[in-house]
This record gives sequence, structure tokens and C-alpha cells, in this order.
Amino acid sequence: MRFRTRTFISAWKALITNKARSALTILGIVIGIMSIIIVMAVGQGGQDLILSEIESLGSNTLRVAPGRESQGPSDVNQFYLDSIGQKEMDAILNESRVPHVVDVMPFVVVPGSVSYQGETMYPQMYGTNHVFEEHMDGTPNFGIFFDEDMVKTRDRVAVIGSDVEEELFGDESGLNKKIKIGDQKLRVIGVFGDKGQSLFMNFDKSVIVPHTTAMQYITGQQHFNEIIVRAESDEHVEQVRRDIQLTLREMHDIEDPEDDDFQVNSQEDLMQMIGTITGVLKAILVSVAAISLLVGGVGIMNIMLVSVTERTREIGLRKAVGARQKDILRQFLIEAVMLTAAGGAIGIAIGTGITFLVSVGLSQGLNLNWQFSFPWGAAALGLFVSATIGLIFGYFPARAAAKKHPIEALRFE
Amino acid sequence: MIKLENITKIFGQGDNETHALRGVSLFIEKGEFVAIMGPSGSGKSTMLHILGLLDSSTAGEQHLHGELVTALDEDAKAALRNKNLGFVFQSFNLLPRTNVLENVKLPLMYSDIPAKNWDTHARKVIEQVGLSHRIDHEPSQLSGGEKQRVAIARALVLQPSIIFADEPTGNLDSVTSGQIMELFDELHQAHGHTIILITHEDDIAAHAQRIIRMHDGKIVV
Ligand SMILES: Nc1ncnc2c1ncn2[C@@H]1O[C@H](COP(=O)(O)OP(=O)(O)O)[C@@H](O)[C@H]1O
Ligand SMILES: [Mg+2]
Repeated sequence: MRFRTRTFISAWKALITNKARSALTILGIVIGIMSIIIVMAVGQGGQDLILSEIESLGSNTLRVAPGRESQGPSDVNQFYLDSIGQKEMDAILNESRVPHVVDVMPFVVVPGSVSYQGETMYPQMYGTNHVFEEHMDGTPNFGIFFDEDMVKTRDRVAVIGSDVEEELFGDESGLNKKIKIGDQKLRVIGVFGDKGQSLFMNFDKSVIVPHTTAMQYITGQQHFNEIIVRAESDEHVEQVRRDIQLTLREMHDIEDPEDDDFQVNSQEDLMQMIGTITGVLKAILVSVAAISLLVGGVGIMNIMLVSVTERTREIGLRKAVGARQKDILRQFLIEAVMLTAAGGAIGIAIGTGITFLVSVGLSQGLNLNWQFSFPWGAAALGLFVSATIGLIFGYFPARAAAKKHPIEALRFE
Repeated sequence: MIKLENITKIFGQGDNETHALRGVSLFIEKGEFVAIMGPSGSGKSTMLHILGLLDSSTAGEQHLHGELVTALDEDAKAALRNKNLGFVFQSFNLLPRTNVLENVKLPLMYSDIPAKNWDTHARKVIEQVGLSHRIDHEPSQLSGGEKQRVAIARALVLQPSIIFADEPTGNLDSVTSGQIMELFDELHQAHGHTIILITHEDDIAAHAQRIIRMHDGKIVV
């Protein structure tokens, strides 16, 4: 089809002559494209954030967790939750079994509350070892972090976050005060400064105790919830992973890797996993947005059909003065595409604006390292999709317009 | 110039059939000013539409400028209308919320004339109908007579050889009607346009050189 500039001009004039109707027509498209932009951009931002958090762990780290890897959505992944304990950690630290390991950091989740003189709160509580301080950038602003000896001797000590300190002690310092976790009293030896949320924990709202103390006196459990293993370098990661797998299989009498009662994930595995999860989420959200676009498209078709009826006399007149069927068809098609593309552009603008506000809100309000970037891909997709919707849903009304008989159209009241 | 031979036009089918034209033959010379008269429903508009290639006949032969046009397809007829034929309607048929200049430019859109020349062409005919001072006005700001002048300017903008007018003064008072008819006279005498005009009024028909009277789908005089 050959389109002449004059057809675009004519379509443009028709649209601005009927501003109110044009605005109404594109509302559905504006909303649809806006949601696509928000979903894609916020989703991308979230994914980037999670990935950068994983990256910040270091690409030389491995995560050893009890339980086998999920084999599918209905798989009962809760087997063997107690398969990784002190024995396994010692084996990983044994140079002759797993060489090239720098250090390991066990994690024990401590449920329950912490209280001090009648003040009670429910922070995130973990048991871990001295490696935490270096690996997680966990040096307290006040006091000290527990060292290796304190872990060995199961000292009843705790390092707490700034929010926890404020909640429990008000304006006073919490250092050297004794807090109560379960029925155990622990001395506060360190307080983190304001650090905010990272992927794995919120320092401000956390309480960290030696894992030995936690297991012995608080939870009573013999196993870890996970172990973070640091290899000497990136090149050693795969070898360390192999050696950990072999060691643990040997210890647990496992012959077939399918029967593993543990999993070892590298940073890359985690990234892939996160990528898959966020990909599925995005797909779901985008299909919701697609449905809203479809509804918007049907709305456009509806309003354009009404518009074609309203403009019957105009169509008759245009034909009387020489418009051919294809001139009318093109005019209405171009009008539809211009409308939906404009709707798409407005949707992109609003969506980008909202995305920007969300990213400002998340990075300032929640202290997240959330990056705003203009969603070029989503914008291009949005523009393309909206124009296509105009073309598809505008075609039927445009054809109805083109087929009108000039005299009957002119007689139309 | 225009020749109709035994033209019939039947609307509808079966029980709903209406014989609007029952064998009409007619010849109109170049430069003629013809008035068509007759009672309502006698087939005047139907004949004008067929003459103007806006509608096709059921049977019969039709020539325009010596060319057989009976079997032409819609696009070819549209091109001929654009180049050679101008229309003026009783109800003006101007685009609403669109100013005089843009209304007059409408036929240019479908012509071969480059867009940069449209303004010049439109302004010339707007001046010819004496509406230069209203060029930015929209139809809602114009009187009936002015609206019909816009419609005439629009019909003239591509300098067609024939101008068709279906009761062009039907919605106008007698003073304004007189002024519009003076304009038609001038187009006919000074510019040599062929004019074919339907009217119920004898004093309007008096401007024409020839009067064709119709009755029940046939020409009676
Ligand atoms: N589109 C149409 N469908 C059916 N009948 C029509 C149509 N147009 C005109 N007619 C009929 O054809 C006859 C002639 O109509 P018309 O040419 O408009 O008469 P006039 O213009 O002389 O009043 C009338 O009976 C009218 O009802
Ligand atoms: Mg009539």
C-alpha cells in the first residue's frame, strides 16, 4: 500500500478536530501500555537488584544447603532438611577432602522474639560464625563482632542492628546489656550502624549470635540451614563444588547423584534460578497487561465503529469529491494507528514516570540500591504493540467506512 | 457532453422495488445551464446522481465527454468525479469544526495537485465566491448563504467542467437564493461551466437556458 503525506495530514486533522473522542478512544491503550512499561521496568529493576546482591556475595562463593534440588513444582523439596551439620562443615573445611576452601560461614535461623526489660520485638535472628564479619561486611559501628574463640566456647553474646537497639533500649546504648532470646540471656557486644536492606537480610532489624550458641542453647537443632563456602578464586569454584559433592555423598552413602540430600549452588546457579523465577513472574504480569491491551483494542474498535457511523456524511462527501475506497480505508487506518501509537506514547511516558517514582521511593524509602533506567526495550515494544493494535482493530471499522455508498452516506441523518 | 440513453434505476428488490427512473434519455451540451423540475419523488435526484457518477443505473447507457461510463468501476468514477464534476447539495455538507479554507481544500486531497499549491487554489475560488473575509470561520459561524458559497467554492476548486446542484437554494430565503443564483449565472456566463440544477421554484429555474420536467421517473418535456 502506498501512503501519501496528505492522507496522514488529513487523518491528523480529523483526530484533532475530535479531541475528546480521540482522548477517550486511547484511554484503554494508555493504561495497557502503561502497565506493560511498569511491569517490565520494575521487574527489570527488581531482577537487577537481586542479581547485584548475589554478585556482591562474590563469584567465588558456593551455597551448600540441606534438601535436594527441586525436581518440579510439585516436588516435595522438604526432605533431608537436617542433612548438613557440624560434621559436614568440618569435612568441607578439611583440606585433604576439599582443597582450595578459604572459609565457611554456617547459617542457623533462630525463630522467636528478643526482649529487654519488658520490651519485646521479633527481629531476623541468625546464628553464624566469625567469618560473617568480613564476608558480609558486618563490622559493628559500636563494640565488636564475635571472634572464632567466642564461637568455639559458645559465648552468650549477640550483635544487634540499629533498629533493634532503638526498640529495646530507646535512647540508651545497648552495649553490654543483656537481652533475652528464648530463656537465654545474651550480652550485646556490638551494634551495627544504619545499613538497611540487602537481599539476604536487613541489618538494622537483625540479631546475630554465634551459631554454636544458637544451636546449643536456643534452637536445640543439630543442623545448619545453609553454609556459604568461599573458594580461593573463581577458577576453583567448580572444583570445590565437585569435591563438596563427592565428600558429602561419601559421608551420606549416596551413589546416585539423583539421591543427593543436599544441594550446592554457585552464584551462577542462583542467578539462573532468579532469572527463571523473575522471568515467569514477568511473563504472567505481561500477559495480564496484554489482556488489558486486547480489551483496549476492542474498545478502540467499538469507538471507531461509532465514529465511522457518526462520520457517515463526511465519508459520503469525501467520496463525492473523489475519494476512492482505499483513500477512505487508509485515512481511517492511519487515524487508528496514530491514535493507538499516541496512546502508546502517553502510556510509555506515564509508565516511565511511575517507574521513576517507584525507584526513587524504593531506593530512598527502603534504602535499597534500586537503579532507575529508561526501559528502552519495553518502550519500543509498547509502541510497536499499540500501533499494531491500531492496525488490527482499526481495520474492520476502516473497511466499513470505505465500503459506504456515497449517496446513502450523504443522505444519512 | 452528457448523454443518457434509456436509463432505468430500480431501488430495492421484490416487493420493495421502486422504479425511480423508467427509461430516461437525455443530451446536455457543453456550457449549457439546465434546470430539472418536477414533483417530489419524480426521480430528479436519482437522475442527478447518475449523471454525476455518484450512483449507477440499473440499465441503459451513459456517456460523459464522449466516453462510455456505464461500466466504469468505483475508483474510475471517483477519479472522474474528482477531475470533472462538482457537487452542491441542499444541506451544504460542510465538515463541522473545520474552517472554510480546509473545507474548500477537501477535493484537492484526492487530486494530483501537489499539497504546496492547495492554499493558492482554495483561496482563489473562495475569493471568487466572495468569502475571503470568512476564510478562517467554521461552518457554525456562517449564515446559510455563506455556507452554500463555501460549498460552491469547494465544487469549483478543481475547475470541473460540470457542476451539479440539488436544490441548492432549498434551505435559503429568497434574497439569499437570488444572490446564490447570481453566482451560478456568473459561473455559467463568465467561466463557461456546465450547470445542472434541480429546483422547485420557477424563478430559480428561470436562470437556466433549458428546463427538463420529470414525472414518475420519466422526462415529460
Ligand atoms: N436509496 C433509495 N432506496 C429506495 N428508494 C429510493 C432511494 N432513493 C430514492 N428512492 C425512491 O426513488 C424515487 C425517486 O426519488 P428521488 O430521485 O429522490 O426523487 P426527487 O429527487 O425527484 O424527489 C422515490 O420514490 C424515492 O422514494
Ligand atoms: Mg430530491
